[in-house]
Amino acid sequence: MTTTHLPDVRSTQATRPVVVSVRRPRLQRLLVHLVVVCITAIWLVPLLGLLVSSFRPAPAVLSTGWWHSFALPGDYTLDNYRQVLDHDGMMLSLFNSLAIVVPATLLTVAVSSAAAYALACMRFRFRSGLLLTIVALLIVPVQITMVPLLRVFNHLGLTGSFLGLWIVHLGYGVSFAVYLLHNFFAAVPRELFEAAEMDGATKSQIFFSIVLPICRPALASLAIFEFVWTWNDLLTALIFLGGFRDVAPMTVAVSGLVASRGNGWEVLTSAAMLSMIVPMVVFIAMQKHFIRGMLAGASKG
Amino acid sequence: MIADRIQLLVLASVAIAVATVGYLRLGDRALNRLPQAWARRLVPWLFVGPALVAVGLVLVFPAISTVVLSLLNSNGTAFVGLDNYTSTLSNPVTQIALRNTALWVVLLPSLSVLVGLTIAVLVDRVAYGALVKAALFLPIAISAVAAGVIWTFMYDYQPPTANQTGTLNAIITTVPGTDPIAWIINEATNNYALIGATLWTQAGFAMIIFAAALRAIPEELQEAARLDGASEWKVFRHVTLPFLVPTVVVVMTTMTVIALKAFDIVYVMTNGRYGTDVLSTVMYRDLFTAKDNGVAGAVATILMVLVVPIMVFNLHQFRRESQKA
Amino acid sequence: MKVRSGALALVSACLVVTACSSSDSLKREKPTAPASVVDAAEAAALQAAGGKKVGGKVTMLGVLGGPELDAFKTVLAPFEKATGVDVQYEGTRDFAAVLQTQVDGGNPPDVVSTPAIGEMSGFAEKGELVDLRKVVGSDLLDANFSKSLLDTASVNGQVFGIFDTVDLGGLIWYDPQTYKGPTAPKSWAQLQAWAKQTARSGTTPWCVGLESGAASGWPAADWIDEILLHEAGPAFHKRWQEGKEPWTSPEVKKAFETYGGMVSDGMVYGGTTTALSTNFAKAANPMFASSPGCYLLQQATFMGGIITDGFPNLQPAKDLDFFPAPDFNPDYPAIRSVSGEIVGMINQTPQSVALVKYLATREAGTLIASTGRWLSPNKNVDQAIYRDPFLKKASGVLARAKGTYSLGNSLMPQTEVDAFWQAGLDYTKNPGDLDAILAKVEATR
Repeated sequence: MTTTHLPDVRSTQATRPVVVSVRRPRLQRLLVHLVVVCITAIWLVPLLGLLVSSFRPAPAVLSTGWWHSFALPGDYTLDNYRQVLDHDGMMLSLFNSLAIVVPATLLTVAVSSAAAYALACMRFRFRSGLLLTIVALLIVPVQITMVPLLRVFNHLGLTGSFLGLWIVHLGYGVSFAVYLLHNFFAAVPRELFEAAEMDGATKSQIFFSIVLPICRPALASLAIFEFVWTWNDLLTALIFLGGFRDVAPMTVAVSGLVASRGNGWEVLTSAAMLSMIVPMVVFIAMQKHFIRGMLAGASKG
Repeated sequence: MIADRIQLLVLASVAIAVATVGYLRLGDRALNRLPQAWARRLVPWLFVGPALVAVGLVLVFPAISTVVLSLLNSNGTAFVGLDNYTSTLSNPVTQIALRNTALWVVLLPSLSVLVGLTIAVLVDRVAYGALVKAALFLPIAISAVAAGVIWTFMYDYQPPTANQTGTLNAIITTVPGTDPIAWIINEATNNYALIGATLWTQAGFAMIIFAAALRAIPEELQEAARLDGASEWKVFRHVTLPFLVPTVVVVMTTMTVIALKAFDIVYVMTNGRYGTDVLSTVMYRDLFTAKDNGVAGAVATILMVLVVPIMVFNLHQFRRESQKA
Repeated sequence: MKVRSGALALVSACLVVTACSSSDSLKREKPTAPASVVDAAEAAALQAAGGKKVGGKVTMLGVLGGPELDAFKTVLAPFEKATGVDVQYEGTRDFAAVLQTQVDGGNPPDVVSTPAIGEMSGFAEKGELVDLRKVVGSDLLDANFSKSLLDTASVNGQVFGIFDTVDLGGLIWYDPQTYKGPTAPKSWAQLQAWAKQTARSGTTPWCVGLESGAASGWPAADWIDEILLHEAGPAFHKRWQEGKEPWTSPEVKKAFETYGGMVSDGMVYGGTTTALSTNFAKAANPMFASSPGCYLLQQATFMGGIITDGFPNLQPAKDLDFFPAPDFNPDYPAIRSVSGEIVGMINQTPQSVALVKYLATREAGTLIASTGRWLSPNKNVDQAIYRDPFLKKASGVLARAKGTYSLGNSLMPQTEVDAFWQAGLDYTKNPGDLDAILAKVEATR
């Protein structure tokens, strides 16, 4: 039934020709390189500045530009990193972050993919209105949601708990997630699941065995965004975990390294480098889902 | 403690997966026992239900209470009608913020689509594609506070007589006779400087969505066009781009909302000083400095109303898509 | 675990590279309090808790972070050890937003500590803060704190906060190696005469940095505030702070103009654009360049630590020193300004009461002084405890003062404070608009 389609999808995938256009003129290729290199350089220079600064002693960071360090190599230090890593509870806060972010991301992907599937592929009353409302809620500013939510959470005993934070992040993430996935789900050729429906497959069977596998690139990109946004969240964690050091994520622990007047911010350079490692690993892990153009082959059928 | 966290993480993840499959499978099966007309009507709600509960609690309920607060006085004890709206809209600070927000809305979405699309399309044609993708991705993995630190390095200003410590000024002063620019202080540059820093953090987002969307385009169509002798530009313009239109709408809409809500970079770098206020910074100050829930609610409501035209545009887009389908 | 071992690998790799270790030796060693002081603090803590190990925890919201927080935790440690109470301190620079949200959301911290006394008095007026006279006891408060410090954090006869740390404001920092001007000027006019002469010879005398992220402008506001105190006198200063004298009054205008005489092109390093763009923590950098770009920097006691963090080789007194602000008006000689953090109580629990009582003791005050970061607000602290040369000198200045007063901007509502910061920046940028700038601040009242 439904499963019979999937091998087709994969096999067309495997035989897809590698695109090598030999006819592209040299000037055009040069232009492509020029554009790509320029944009990459613009994006890399600030990162390079951060990387170099994270290895410079604080006094040097405060008095000279990061590129000056190339003139006096050897004037590098791991102090900034040590300051972050040796901080009491930094390791625990890393795992707190993971314990907040991973379930929150999974929850958001699960809840929003189900909703997006219904909104993209089923016909029912209020469908457009519902979709539009969910998307429009993207605009709700985080700051105004906190007091009403905190009151509800106090009532339910959710403040200071991971569960509370998962729910908050789910709420903040769902709107965008549904919007993004709807776009991709709507592009899935109808024939694919109409045939399965003829064979008596239920909606949930189609969802799990056709829609989700086909839309893996979209799910992967969504997972990356949700992961990164939740990973970098500071305000929500400060408010909803309030004062409970044991559950503070890394963003809270790192912001605690900067002094009250904002001096000592040099340590943020190394903290930023360290906090990029996990999202980068996730990005690389998700990369392979981008490369498989499952849908590209599928639409042929 | 760390072991506890790992255990929690694993258990929660498994629970979420099991609950999702169980809820949809069993719910679906149960509803299918009902008469078919009922089942057809109810199954969609089974799928959208959890999402509706989540946004209802976290977004709709607070949004409604904000609208209500916007009609009350500063501590919510008396009804004042539209006074909060007239007072904030007649305030020059709000007017500057509206002007700046308009600038953000024009520049940020268009530039991020331009950069994101360009890189997504071209990245497969260069050998160093992985590096390019990483360069655009890493900034979205950086927190707003860290991005503020980085762009402070970039925009730093020293007097013309001294060594420049800011990257941008160091570059421009290599041209003889050029004076450094105080990017953040100078009112001719500061809004663009803040938008530029935000673009840096957001363009990778556009790139990833476009990259995912490009995978969904039948390669055969592009190949066929190429075999017909169409130039690369024509292939892009007439084959690739039409497929991408819905995705462009998604990215444009999301970026417009991000531009409307722009807060972090502005707050960290200028806090709205030197004419860089945007609606969110005005709202933040009304909320936490002036502690006036009424005016803050009014600014938030104005912000929320601004999304309506974008949604109308999206409605047209949805309609067009469902007609095609 | 994996990350930790990775870090260890990095660190051990670093040990091979000699360059890495060089900066270690430059770090200022952490001052530790003498054992007897710690023991006394533990005894005082136990007494504050009623003589028994009460256990449990206190949540505390504050603004401290980094080394400051580490220092403050050394003050909390004897309390935690003696009473078994776990003090969960959370420091954030978004203090106002976090506190406001948690209070409105019904989930406030037990105890708060902040330099924004005006904010706290707002909460106190709404009845959100516990009257410390009732829970800590007037005996302890009156025995250990001066009347002016208690009055500063009082509203309607209730004490809503006690100072835990104090900074002395209005200091002029300089490098004794290069600065050849008066180090004990009789008057501001005398100091400015030297500054103007220096400016004429082509070097800018003043180092100024007004940038401070979201709080930019506070260094200007603090100094203008200080000038007003000295020029117009404490009585006027108080009336102005309380809103009884308008921002547009000639005295306030004159204070801005006095400040303007210091921050103007030619007088300030790099001109006003540089002053506006420079982070306050980096303001002293040009003072230590091979040929100094400026010689004088106005800032409170905490600046000593910030400068020596940036230039770890500087020897206090030899390479960096300060003198207190000279008199601006012969009618008001030797008056000083102080600022600092106050501790307030939101939730009255046995633990929070014990903590605040403990912080009010002479023993805790002594520990504050021995951190080498702050002056102690406690009037019974033995001045000999100060080992940090700058704090030692500052405590001497305070002891000789004819009067100490709080800066107005630490007591005003935050909207007005924000407008004041903004006014400091606007005036620096466009001194011609002073009347309009002051009218704008007045409008926030």
